[in-house]
Amino acid sequence: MRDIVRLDMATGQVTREPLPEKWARYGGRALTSAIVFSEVPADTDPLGPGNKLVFAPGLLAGTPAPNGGRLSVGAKSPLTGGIKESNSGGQAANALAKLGIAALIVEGKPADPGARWALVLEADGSIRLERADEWAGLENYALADAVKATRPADDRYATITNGPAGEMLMKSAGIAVSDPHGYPNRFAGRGGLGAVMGSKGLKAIIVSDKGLKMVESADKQAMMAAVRTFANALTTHAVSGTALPTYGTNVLANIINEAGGYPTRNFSEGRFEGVEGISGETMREITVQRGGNVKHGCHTGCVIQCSRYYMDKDGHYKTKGPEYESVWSLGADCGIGDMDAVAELDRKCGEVGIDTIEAGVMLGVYMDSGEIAFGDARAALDALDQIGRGTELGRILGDGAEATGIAFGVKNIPVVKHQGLPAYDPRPIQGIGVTYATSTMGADHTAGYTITSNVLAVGGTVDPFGTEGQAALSQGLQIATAMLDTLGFCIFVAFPVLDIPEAFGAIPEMVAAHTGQASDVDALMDLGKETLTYERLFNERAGFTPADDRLPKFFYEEPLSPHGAVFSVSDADLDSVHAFVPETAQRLGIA
Amino acid sequence: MAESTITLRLFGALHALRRERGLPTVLKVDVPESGITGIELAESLELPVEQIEGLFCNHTVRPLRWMLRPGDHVAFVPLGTPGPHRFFLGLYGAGRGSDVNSTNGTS
Ligand code: SF4
Repeated sequence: MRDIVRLDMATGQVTREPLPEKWARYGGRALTSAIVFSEVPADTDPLGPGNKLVFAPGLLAGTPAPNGGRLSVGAKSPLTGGIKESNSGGQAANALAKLGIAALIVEGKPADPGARWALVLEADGSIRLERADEWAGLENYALADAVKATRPADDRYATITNGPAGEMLMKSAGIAVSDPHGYPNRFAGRGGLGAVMGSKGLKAIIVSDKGLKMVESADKQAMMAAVRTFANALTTHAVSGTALPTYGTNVLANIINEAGGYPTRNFSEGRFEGVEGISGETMREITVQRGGNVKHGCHTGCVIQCSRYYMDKDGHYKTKGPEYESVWSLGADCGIGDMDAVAELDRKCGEVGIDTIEAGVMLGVYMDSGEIAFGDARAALDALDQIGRGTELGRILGDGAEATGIAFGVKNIPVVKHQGLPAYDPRPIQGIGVTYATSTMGADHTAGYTITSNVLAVGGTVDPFGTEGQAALSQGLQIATAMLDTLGFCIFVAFPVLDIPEAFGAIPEMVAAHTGQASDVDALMDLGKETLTYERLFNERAGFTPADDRLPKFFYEEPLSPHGAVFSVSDADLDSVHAFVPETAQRLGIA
Repeated sequence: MAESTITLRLFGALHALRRERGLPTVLKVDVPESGITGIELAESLELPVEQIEGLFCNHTVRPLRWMLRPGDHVAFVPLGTPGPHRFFLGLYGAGRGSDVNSTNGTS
């Protein structure tokens, strides 16, 4: 039995209701998107009382399903103006699931905009909203310490917190989620959801799961058998079993750079001469030398364990080992080739509570304006500091790349649906451009993790410079990714899942064993299609048109070195990506 | 004088091997004027061929049997590349003898 918990910030009332039958198959992203679609008027002010902030653990969160404890956070995005699902690791999803909560919906707006609140969910099932004015303005790590001081020493709890950028309603603000050691270093970063949390006056959510058992499955034996198959595939596959745990996602830096698709200095070049200093290989060497933890999960139950801690020169924790996208955005895109400088910027983003991708893309744009120089890490840190302090400049920069580009008259602003592009240039790698252009989320690398795509399609590999097959590939991956986000799986399970047939088969087996309802691959793909359909229809109602499914002009017009490539997938191909939506909407009765 | 070397980079686990052997970040390797295949190059350097998934030649993914010629910029990529581009760039097929990337006159 799973419930929806509602917190009305206008009255402070907390209510609990059973999850409606129509959403019984949903968790994670399907649930946040279905709720936002159904309950948030598409034309509402994202920072007004009509918007709702929804936290939903994946369907399999709290169970032994490996890597299945991800958290979806949904709302209407103040950055894109469309629907948003931002996905995070950390301990909160498992804790919420163990409390029997399918979704926590924060709605309304408090009468006193200066007040700060903390929502506390205790392991005994009680829930209370507390005044937390003394936490106003605290950065995320200090806030984590302040929360700790309020908890019993032997408690086990997760935090969901909002830094100063979110309190100041900045559009690049993200929401921090604590990792297994209590560091607030996992983020539902994209889309400015921290600003939505700030608009609700909510500074922290504390979820205790001390002493709680795992969520029970309908057929325990079948569940454990499928879990074993799945875990075995994850831990023996070359990517998820070896490369990711050894080097983390940043092992990609050298490879994408070599391919000429590593956006450098605001997407003006495809290769960065300083890549060696910020590569995954270098990051690992530094981390090992300084005694950092080089392999752990971002949440209990992760068996791949791609997380690491980056230490400063004195061997003290600085930040979580920055991910590939963060290292790229705060490094190459800003012309910064020093790992310690990147880690410093990453920590500052974590403290202030802003999305590292949006922050780095914004800094690249800001540097392109000539206000500060490419490569000037000190000036970049000062810019982030101004965001945290809410200076006049900081408020512009904190609204992200597009706001900064407009304010400073920059010609090339790399955004789609107002959101900064992540770490792959779409010109030499056309397929990722299709996903950037057409994702319901705005430019988003995880929205259609175009990874294992050709396997999903028919085998064979698309030509990175060609246009043929790219739209179908992107469609397949956007659907599959929405499905994984719904079940609560980390997207890195995709590697073994698409290489090892038994691993793919284990997913519907886990779903069936857990829910007691038959499942197969088609049923799972339907989950992905339904999720995208809610999102697509919401965006249409919010005023999005096909013109919003395009890359910025300069990707079509300005060739990128070293290949001299431009983006050339046709508009008709881009428009074909969501061809399944009308039929799915019909089936759901929401056409 | 005609160029007789290629530049070579090693990524991932191969990078660790390079460090163990005390080699620089970018290696300069003499190759015959007639060229050398990626596999031959890896074998001549005693690299674990079975762990190499593909190679870049002048920033484009090529299969291991690709003929490398003096002046080329080459990088070996081990198995285990995360992210979309293992597929998008053709790395997935490159090391497996598929016909994903045509060869340049080698068999
Ligand atoms: S593989 Fe990495 S991102 Fe995925 S759940 Fe584990 S630690 Fe988190």
